[in-house]
Amino acid sequence: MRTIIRAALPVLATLAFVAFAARGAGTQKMGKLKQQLVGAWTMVSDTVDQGGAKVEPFGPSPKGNMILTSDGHFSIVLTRPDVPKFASNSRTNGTADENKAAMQGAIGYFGTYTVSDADKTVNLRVEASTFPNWSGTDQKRIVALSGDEMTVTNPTPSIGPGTATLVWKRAKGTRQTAQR
Amino acid sequence: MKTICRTALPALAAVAFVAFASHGGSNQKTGSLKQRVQGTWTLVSAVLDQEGKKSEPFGPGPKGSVILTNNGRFALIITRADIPKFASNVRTTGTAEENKAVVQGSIAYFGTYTANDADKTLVLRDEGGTFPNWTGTDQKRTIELSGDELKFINPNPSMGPGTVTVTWKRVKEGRATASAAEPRQ
Repeated sequence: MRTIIRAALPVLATLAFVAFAARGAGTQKMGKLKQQLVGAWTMVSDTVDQGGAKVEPFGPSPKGNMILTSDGHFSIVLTRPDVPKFASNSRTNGTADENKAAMQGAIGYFGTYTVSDADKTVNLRVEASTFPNWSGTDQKRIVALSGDEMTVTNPTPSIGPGTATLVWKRAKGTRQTAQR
Repeated sequence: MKTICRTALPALAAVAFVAFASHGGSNQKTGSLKQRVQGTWTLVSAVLDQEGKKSEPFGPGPKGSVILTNNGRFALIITRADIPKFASNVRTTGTAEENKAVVQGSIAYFGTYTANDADKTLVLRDEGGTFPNWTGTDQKRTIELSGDELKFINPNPSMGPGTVTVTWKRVKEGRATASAAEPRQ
C-alpha cells in the first residue's frame, strides 16, 4: 500500500502541475500590452484637434463601445446619442436628412487586431465598416493606459484632417481572460 | 510519513480533478444558452422572408460580426459588401446617395444581453448604434444553435415587415471569454 502511495504521489503532483500550467498557457503567450487591452470598453470622449480647433465629432456625450477579444478580434461602434429617429421607423426608408444625420453621427467597424508592445500601437485590420472607405484597410492607433482608462490616438480620423483622441473606460467586470 | 501521504493523496487527486475539469469548462456543446453563444461569430448570411418571398437585405456575400462576452456585453455589425466608397474620403461629407447606400446597407449596435434557456431567446439591449430607432430598445432574437453555427431569428427587422434569419459561424479559436471576476495572476 505504502509503495502504491509513493508511486502515485509524484504522478498526481505532476498531473496537477501540468493541468494548471495548461490552463494558464493562453495568458502567458499574450504580450503585456495586449493583456491590458483585452476586454470591453465604454467611450468617455472623442475630440478631434484640427490644427488647434477642437471638435467633438459625436457631440459632447458620445456613446461608444469597443470589444477586444483575447483571440485577436475587435468590434468598435461610436455614436452620438442625439441622432433623430427615422419617422418611418424603417432603416431603409430614411429621408435624405435622416440618412445624413445617421451617417454623420455614427461609425461601426470590426475585424482583427495586433498589438505592438515596442511602439505601444494597435493595428486594426478592418474587415468591414459602416464607413466604406475603411473596409479592407489597416487602422493604426497609439494607445496609452492608466488604470481602467485607455487613451487612443488616431492620426487619420474618418472626418478628415486632424488627430482624434478617444478616451475609453473599462466596462465593469469585463477584463477578459484567455482560457486556451 | 504514512499519515502525510494519506492526507496528501486525496488532496492532490482533488486538485488534479478540479484543474482538468475547469480546463474543459469551455466545452461548447453543454452548458447554458448564454455559455454556448459566447464568443466571436462571423456572418454567413442574412435572409428576409416576407410571406414566402425571400431576399437578402444586405445583398450577396454580406460581412458581419457579433461578439458576445461572458459578462453579458455584445457588439453586432452587419454591412453589405458592395457599398460604394465616399468620393471625398471623409465620412461626414458624403453625398445624399452615398449616405443612403450606407444607411440602407449596414447596421451596427452594441449593449448588454441576456439569454433565456426556456424559450431559446436572446434579448439584446441596444445602448447605441447606427439605427437611432433601436437605441434604448430591447431586441429579442430566437436562437438556433447547431455545432459552430448560430442563427438569430428576428421577427421585427429594421427594414420593416417580415422575418430575418441571420446565420453566424463561430470564428476559429474564437471563444472570447470575459471573466466577471478579476483574472487569476
